[in-house]
Amino acid sequence: MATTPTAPSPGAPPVPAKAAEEYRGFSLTALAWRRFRRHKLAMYASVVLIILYAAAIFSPFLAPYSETRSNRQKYFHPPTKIHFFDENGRLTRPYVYNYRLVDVGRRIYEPVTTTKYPIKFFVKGESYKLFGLIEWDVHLYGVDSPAVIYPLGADHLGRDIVSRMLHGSRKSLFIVIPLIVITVSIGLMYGGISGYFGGRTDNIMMRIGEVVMAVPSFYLLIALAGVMRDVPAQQRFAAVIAILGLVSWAGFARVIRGMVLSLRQQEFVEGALAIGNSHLRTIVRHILPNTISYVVVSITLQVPGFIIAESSLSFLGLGVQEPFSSWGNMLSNATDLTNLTRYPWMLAPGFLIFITVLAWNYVGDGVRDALDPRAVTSGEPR
Amino acid sequence: MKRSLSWLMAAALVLAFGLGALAQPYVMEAETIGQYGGEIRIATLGDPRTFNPYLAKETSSTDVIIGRIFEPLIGRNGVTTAHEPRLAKAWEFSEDGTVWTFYLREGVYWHDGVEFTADDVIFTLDIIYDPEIPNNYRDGMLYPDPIQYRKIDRYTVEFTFPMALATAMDDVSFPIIPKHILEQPWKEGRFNEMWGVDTPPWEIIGTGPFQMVEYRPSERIVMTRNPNYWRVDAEGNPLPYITRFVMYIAGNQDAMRLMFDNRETNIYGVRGTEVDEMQDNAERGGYTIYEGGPTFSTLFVVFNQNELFVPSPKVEWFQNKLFRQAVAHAVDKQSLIDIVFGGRAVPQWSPVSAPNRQFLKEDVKTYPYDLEESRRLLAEAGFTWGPDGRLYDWNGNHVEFTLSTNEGNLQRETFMTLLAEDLTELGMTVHTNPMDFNLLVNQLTSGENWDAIIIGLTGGVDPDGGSNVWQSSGGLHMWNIGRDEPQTEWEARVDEIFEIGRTILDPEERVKVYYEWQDIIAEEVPLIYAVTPLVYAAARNEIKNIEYTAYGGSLHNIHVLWIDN
Repeated sequence: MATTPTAPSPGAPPVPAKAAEEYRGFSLTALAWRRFRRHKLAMYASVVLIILYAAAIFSPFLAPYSETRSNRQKYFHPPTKIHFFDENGRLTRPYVYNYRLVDVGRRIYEPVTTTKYPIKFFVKGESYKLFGLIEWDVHLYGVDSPAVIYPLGADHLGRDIVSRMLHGSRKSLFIVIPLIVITVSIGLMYGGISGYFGGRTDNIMMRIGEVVMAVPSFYLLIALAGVMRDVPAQQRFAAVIAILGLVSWAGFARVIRGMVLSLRQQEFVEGALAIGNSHLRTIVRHILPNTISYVVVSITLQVPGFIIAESSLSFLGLGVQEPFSSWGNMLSNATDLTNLTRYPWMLAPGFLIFITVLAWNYVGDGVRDALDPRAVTSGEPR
Repeated sequence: MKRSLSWLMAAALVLAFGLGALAQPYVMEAETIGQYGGEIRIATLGDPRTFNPYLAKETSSTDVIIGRIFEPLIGRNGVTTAHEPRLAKAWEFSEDGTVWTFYLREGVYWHDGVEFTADDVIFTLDIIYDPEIPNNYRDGMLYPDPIQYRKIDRYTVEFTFPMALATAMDDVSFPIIPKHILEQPWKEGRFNEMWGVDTPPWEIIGTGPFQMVEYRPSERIVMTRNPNYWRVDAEGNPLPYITRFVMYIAGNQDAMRLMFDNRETNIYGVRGTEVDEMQDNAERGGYTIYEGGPTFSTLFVVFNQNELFVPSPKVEWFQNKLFRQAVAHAVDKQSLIDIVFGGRAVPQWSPVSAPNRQFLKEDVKTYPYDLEESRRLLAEAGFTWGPDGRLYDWNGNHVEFTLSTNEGNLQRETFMTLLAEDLTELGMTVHTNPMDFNLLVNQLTSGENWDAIIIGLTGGVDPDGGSNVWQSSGGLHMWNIGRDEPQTEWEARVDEIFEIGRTILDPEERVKVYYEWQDIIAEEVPLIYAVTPLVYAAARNEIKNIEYTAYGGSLHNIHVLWIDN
């Protein structure tokens, strides 16, 4: 657009003379990327997140079993031991034994050592649709029946924890996308309009925003999910997610409004209006793009909160419903004291939630440092 | 001529003490003579909502007061389930079975020292039949006319039933409340506000073995021994032996288990999956695990056969006996027993619960887990399988329905998952739908919006207690709800059986009538039963005289339990 301001973006920091020397010749994106790369923890965390999300996308292929496939002979099956050495201590092709339930009351399983089942790769198994489109039946790994490979054990219906975690990760990790879309689009428009017009409009809109901010969202969700008892579980979950988005935008909108308030004093705004742009167009095309760095930082820092919210709702039985899995509802099976002490592998999804949230926080930290060097929070000054 | 059902023991006591307001203690047999002192501490799940027995609707309230504070005229023995005297020492009925005379125990005193008399019984019946008081007893005591009741003298009351009733003794097992305390508030219209949980606990006055002294919400209820209680042991020592009875309010089963492990409580109801593990630690923990046998509660799946609510062609499948029998053969009871109960449960086939030896017919038709047999029955009913392996009915409709249960109940959710898997294996499409309990019950009792539901019922000893389920007009006649007339021949026959069974006073003849009903239900499978859990309790070794049963629980003989130091 011809009306794009040529003046340096107000979002970009005034860099010290010495540093400016060093960075000469790089675009803003490249500069940010350089700064991000220096943040070691953020880099490691990004790798972790990329692996997690890739695993979620390819989950039907990576998981040896389907999400709902139960096995009545293998309930509370302990983690399958993978043998790399044979009984003589020689390195061999990895194999597993089939396990047999020897004590029904105490749920003790013992390996049957008469037959070895080598682990096979790219085996044919249950068919699935990759990306929801491509019909396929090859799984990364597996063993021949009747043996099973449960690297992290099984739940109360004999379902593989690893498979369920992989399938569940699609819901637990990608649920943030609709949430981010709702929060950011409402927050940007609301904050933009409020800051741009200022005065009375601003005053009223911000007071409304504060009311929304004061709503205790989690309790509201629990109450709403309770009221919507007669709505089918899937739709209820969708509604809960939508409402979670609808109450989470206010804090974000307030910061945007503050930034817009200062941006609209700039000359390029006058220019945009002078050549005949409408107010709305000026806000959307000229002012809001200047808040992009804050938006990106804000999104990355909000994601972990949303992941926890989904897990908590599913944990409480208000989110993803059995027999489908999410990290939260898998954890709810581990709340039983007996299960917790005797089958500790059922806590595995909790560990994944921990890793994911930690990684997102480090990435958020790195992104903020990269895009907004004035807000130095940790490490040496950059 | 009048036939007397009075107990030998009671008769002997009447002779020994003669008439008049002498104390007439009731001797309670027990294995050992106990020592006084000590306390029994248990944990319970929820807070009571009221201490008023005629407003109490939930077990969290009735478990606290019934039997401990308030007592009925007649009760059932916790081990044998036979009727035995409580506040009535003896009773008799007329030849036609309609007029019952109850002789009250003399020398029984309310906790505040006032004597218990016939006036209290009459007052309690006034309360039950007062339409302003929403109590649980009234509906069961309208036949449809109320009982005619009158006081004969200070220690005798007479009830006239509209017909001969085999269940009369169960019907008169309502808890007696004190007239001298509650009459005034009742006349002022304040009965429904009396004895809420905010009442000072010592103001709750009954005749039972314990008096309440403390209630701290969400924490504990403390009761102390009633020193003037009417039961004595074999040596004539007054009962109960223990000084205090404490109920801690724990939020959930895990908290209850921890309290037992920490010795805060000394009796605990053990879950089937915990039995073996707790058995391993019994010596170190100083406790013993008692088995009480199968419970009275049931678990089943029911299909909605009501064409007013279920559209065609679904309703035609559900009304088809062979379809229901095929589903019955697809219930994998053994897996359910192993997975949910750690092997500590038994399959159920008859509508009479397993511990009910008196009425249970052992040799009813059974449906072992056999998908091949299911396929054969479906084929016989006219169902066919398409090339895709899916099941179609005689008009080419694919068999597809929703199976609901309440969420948060592991037994029912596991049953739902296993059954849905097996039915899918048979070619049906089953949508599983865990939902809120109250909503589920609303659907079940209105007949609307459901195809198949997994739920359970609590059972009692007398089959007539289930007439609201089995008779066509009953409020829980789930598969064909809201019908005044029986819809099928077999339902008509079941209606007749219940009408007849209710009026037969000879116990053996009565049992035979109910045998036919069990055969009909096992053949028609309107309810497809799953399994009945076995119940267990753990008690510290120092507690003596425990006689744990599924019917009575661990505390039915709390009077004779004692602590051996």
